[in-house]
Amino acid sequence: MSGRPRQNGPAQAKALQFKLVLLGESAVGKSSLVLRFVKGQFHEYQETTIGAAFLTQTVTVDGVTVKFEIWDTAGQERYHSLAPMYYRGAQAAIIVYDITNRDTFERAKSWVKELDRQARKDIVIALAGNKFDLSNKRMVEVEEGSAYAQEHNLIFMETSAKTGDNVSNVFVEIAKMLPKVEPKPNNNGQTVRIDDNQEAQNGGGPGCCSKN
Amino acid sequence: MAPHGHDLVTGCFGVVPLHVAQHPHNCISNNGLPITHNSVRLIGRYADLSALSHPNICKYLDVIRGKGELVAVVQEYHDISLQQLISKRPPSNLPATSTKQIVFDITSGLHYLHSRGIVNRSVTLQNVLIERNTGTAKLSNFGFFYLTMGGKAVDFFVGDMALSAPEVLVSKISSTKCDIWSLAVVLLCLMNKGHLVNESSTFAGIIKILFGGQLSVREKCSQLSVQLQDQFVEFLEKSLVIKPSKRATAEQLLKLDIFSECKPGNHQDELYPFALSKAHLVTANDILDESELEEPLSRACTLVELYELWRMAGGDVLAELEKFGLVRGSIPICDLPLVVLPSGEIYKEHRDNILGQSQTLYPISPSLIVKRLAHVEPEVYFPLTLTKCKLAEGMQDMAQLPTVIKERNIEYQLHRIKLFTALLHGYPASIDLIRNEAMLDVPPLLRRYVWSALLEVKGDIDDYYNKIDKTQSLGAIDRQIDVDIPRCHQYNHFLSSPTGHEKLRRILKAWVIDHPDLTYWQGLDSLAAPFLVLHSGNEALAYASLKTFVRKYVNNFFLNDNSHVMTEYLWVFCQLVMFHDPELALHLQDMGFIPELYAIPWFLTMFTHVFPLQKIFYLWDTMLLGNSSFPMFLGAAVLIQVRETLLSYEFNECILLFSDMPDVDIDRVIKDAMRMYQITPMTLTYRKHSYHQQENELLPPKPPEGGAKYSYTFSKTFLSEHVASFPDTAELKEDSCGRIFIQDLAKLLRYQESVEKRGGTASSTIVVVDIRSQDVFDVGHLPDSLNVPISQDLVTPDGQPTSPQVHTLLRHRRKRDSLTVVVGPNEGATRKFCKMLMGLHFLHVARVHGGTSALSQAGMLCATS
Ligand SMILES: Nc1nc2c(ncn2[C@@H]2O[C@H](COP(=O)(O)OP(=O)(O)O)[C@@H](O)[C@H]2O)c(=O)[nH]1
Ligand SMILES: [Mg+2]
Repeated sequence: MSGRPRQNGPAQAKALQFKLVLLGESAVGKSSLVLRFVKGQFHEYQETTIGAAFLTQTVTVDGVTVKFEIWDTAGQERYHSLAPMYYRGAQAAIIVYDITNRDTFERAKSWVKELDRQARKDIVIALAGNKFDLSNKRMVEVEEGSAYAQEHNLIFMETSAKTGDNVSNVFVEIAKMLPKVEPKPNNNGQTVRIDDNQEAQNGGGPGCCSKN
Repeated sequence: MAPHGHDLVTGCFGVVPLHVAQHPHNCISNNGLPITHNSVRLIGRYADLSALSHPNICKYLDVIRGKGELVAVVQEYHDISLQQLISKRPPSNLPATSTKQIVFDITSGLHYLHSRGIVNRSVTLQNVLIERNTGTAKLSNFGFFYLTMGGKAVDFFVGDMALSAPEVLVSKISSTKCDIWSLAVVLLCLMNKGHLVNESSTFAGIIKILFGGQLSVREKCSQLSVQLQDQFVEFLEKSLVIKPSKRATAEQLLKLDIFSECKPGNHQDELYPFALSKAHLVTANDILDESELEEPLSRACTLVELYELWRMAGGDVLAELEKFGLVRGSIPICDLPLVVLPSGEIYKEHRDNILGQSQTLYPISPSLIVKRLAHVEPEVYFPLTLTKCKLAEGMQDMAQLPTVIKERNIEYQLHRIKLFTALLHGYPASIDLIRNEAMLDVPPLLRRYVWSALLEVKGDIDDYYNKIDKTQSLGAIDRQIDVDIPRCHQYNHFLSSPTGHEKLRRILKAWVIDHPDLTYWQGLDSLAAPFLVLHSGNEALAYASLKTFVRKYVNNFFLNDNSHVMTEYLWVFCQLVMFHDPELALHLQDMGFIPELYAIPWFLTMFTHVFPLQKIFYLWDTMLLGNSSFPMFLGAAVLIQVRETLLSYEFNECILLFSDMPDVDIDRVIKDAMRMYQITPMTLTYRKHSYHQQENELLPPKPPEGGAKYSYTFSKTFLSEHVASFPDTAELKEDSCGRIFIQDLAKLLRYQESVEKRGGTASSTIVVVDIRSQDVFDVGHLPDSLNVPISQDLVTPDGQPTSPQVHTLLRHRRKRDSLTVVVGPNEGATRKFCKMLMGLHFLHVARVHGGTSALSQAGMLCATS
């Protein structure tokens, strides 16, 4: 059942809406980053995310209000098959890794590759090295993260959901990069269509981001 | 069912307040998480103590965390200690007991503890209590050394130095052997009718003699002026030994000749029906002996039950401590730190150091419940379950009240506990009775056993669990489990303790290893949590329950690739909502608010990821009575409870609403789900990928009772072909309402007919709508079906029904008690017609899988007469 587009259009406030998705290995702090950004909170025992969670938050850049519709996804590899449902059509993505854990950095890289292949061509991607507050236990150097980001044209930042360092900055930087013109009333802002899920998994053709 | 003799006047349980050591503020552990409070660690370790049960140890009943790292440990209490027994004026009315029997009792208790790896370290005269009417000696306070992680969690010495073994005092080594030493010294004290003395009577002086390596037992005794009884010489020679390795074990001591005539204590087994080889069937006549019933409450309730009732009646352990002046609220200003270093370290003045720094047991009087239960009929304690379970008068009304009220009524709870206890003793034979009773409610005290019974846990579960090698490495799965566990229901003290973490890890690993075809998905941790919390002291039973639960309700969700299972499940869920609330379902569908976006955590974790444990207990109490589709009804009931909100919301708001589960009324969810479950045709929720093929539901109805209008028999091949031709989810998604199987329709029709024959009215009216053209219809159709040809409009332009059949059909549109079943000649026509009905928000519509051709093959069509 594909849904019809929602009326997020001009009738409402003039906030621009963008769909943003968080990706990354589990326990790197995706949910914590969102929680910090949206509610200013941090929970030490943040519950795992099953499937995905949805939140919204607005930021103002250069006098323009940007509303993020944030999809926070489950990190476990097994939930991978659900991911395209969330990143398809997304205008922005934050790929998160944990600076104290090398494997999560490798996983982040594979997300970058996947988005390159499968997401919108104009998607704005930020790479966030989280848990900056634990930098005495770091396993991934800043230089390494930033070099990789530069090479792939990503926004890069080390963040801490715990202390709040750089958290809203990531979102603000993304907002700056997003087109400030009213998105055309096509289906881009539309959320999810489960039925193209299958194609995407099977490595479906390019340009599967906007259908209809 | 041996009567227990708790003395109600002086109390039968007591509490020990413990102040555990506090960590410096803001301490962070290695993984970046705050260090676990010692009080929480204790609560975790308590789980193993709670499971202990032996005639010569005092039962642990509860552990409660108070303010400021206070931990209150509730345990069995008797008002006479060994200390008092040997004092100058021992209490009267005690059965005569010999020193020999007492030593035997203590040794037996120690043997039991040691066999479970527990070092007591507190064997003292005060910590041996005497049960009044049997004279049995019981170890009390035996768990503190274990609880406090070998004394690490408290700032004081656990035990009594005067009775401590040399290795404890010299090198701080404590093994089970140190208890044997203390036992020997206790024996010396017993023979001495009091404390040990020598000329100087100093601690050092006594220790020097006791530790004297060259001295024989006899010499030590004479220097301490102990009147050594000859019968104990051998015992002491084996136990009062300096070298721990040379000291005897409790087991060896028990085998000494001196104990040959001693009787082991009479043990009332803790209820544990899953390992019982034979049911304990007791009839009231066996037990009802007038003299025993003078104090029915104390005699017929176990201590565990008594404590539970006391708590339900509002008993509050911390408040009791306050009565003793033991919990002093400190003035906030006194809590301000004295010094704060730039590094963040905080120095505070130590608060009252004496409170909670010993192991004093304060009695709690259960008078609260004794008065209330004074008038309870004795029969209540020994319910007759063999014939028929019947609630006593006055309790029947009670049974209908909301759970919260029932759980505060201790008379009612007493009834329920006693009844379920009796039923559980008869498990598995009594499973049907248990099921029946559980429909009313489940007493919280027995929930864990009732659940295991409802899940039909059987067999040698301990052996099964122990045989799984849980140390095996699982690579990536291990890492996943490790990051998930510290985030799983951490508001629960037990689950947030290191012990809780370890146990959860073991259970999860065991499950993964035990199911090679399935794997660990995030969410299995939440699913295991309720079982682990209920069976915190019994990992094997927690595991067995989890295993059967997963198999029944969520089995294939844990396949490596579960997408087809999930897609099917969620689609059937959609159809269920459509069946019961088409308006809501269509609204959600139109918005693209599909269950994939919000309901995966609901079903994958059976709601454990979205509701707190307390709600899960009630939810599952009912869910466990239903089949594997029942959870869908719960999900539908949640949606329907917030339907007005959802109907007024747009996509984003809907998604946000379920990002944090709204505060739904669980009692109502359960009621609504039950109601829907009862009026939904079984096969509407049929899933190809459910583990159980729901065989009962797919069976043909019983042979007819002679001459009935709707009595059909189906051949097995027909039925299996009928089921096999059920389309895949992808194709089903073209349907706009759910499908039922033909035998389900036959069953429903027959049921309706039989009810009507008996002069009653069936709970729902079945309207079968045949959408073929009239001439085909006339050739053969199901008796009493409505003919509403697809080709014909339902209403005239001015809104009038186009035929009497349409008129009848439309009457059932919003009827809560109607079931409309569509049969059509082909997919296209049937889909079109169903879609039209759904557009009109017809309640309770289903189509028959296979349509009219299936009816015809099954011989269900008759010509118009
Ligand atoms: N020290 C530290 N811990 C963090 C930070 N962000 C998240 N965490 C912790 O890491 C764990 C996993 O966080 P979560 O947000 O659930 O990760 P997700 O699985 O990626 O969504 C939780 O225990 C968090 O408290 C951070 O910036 N610093
Ligand atoms: Mg998360």
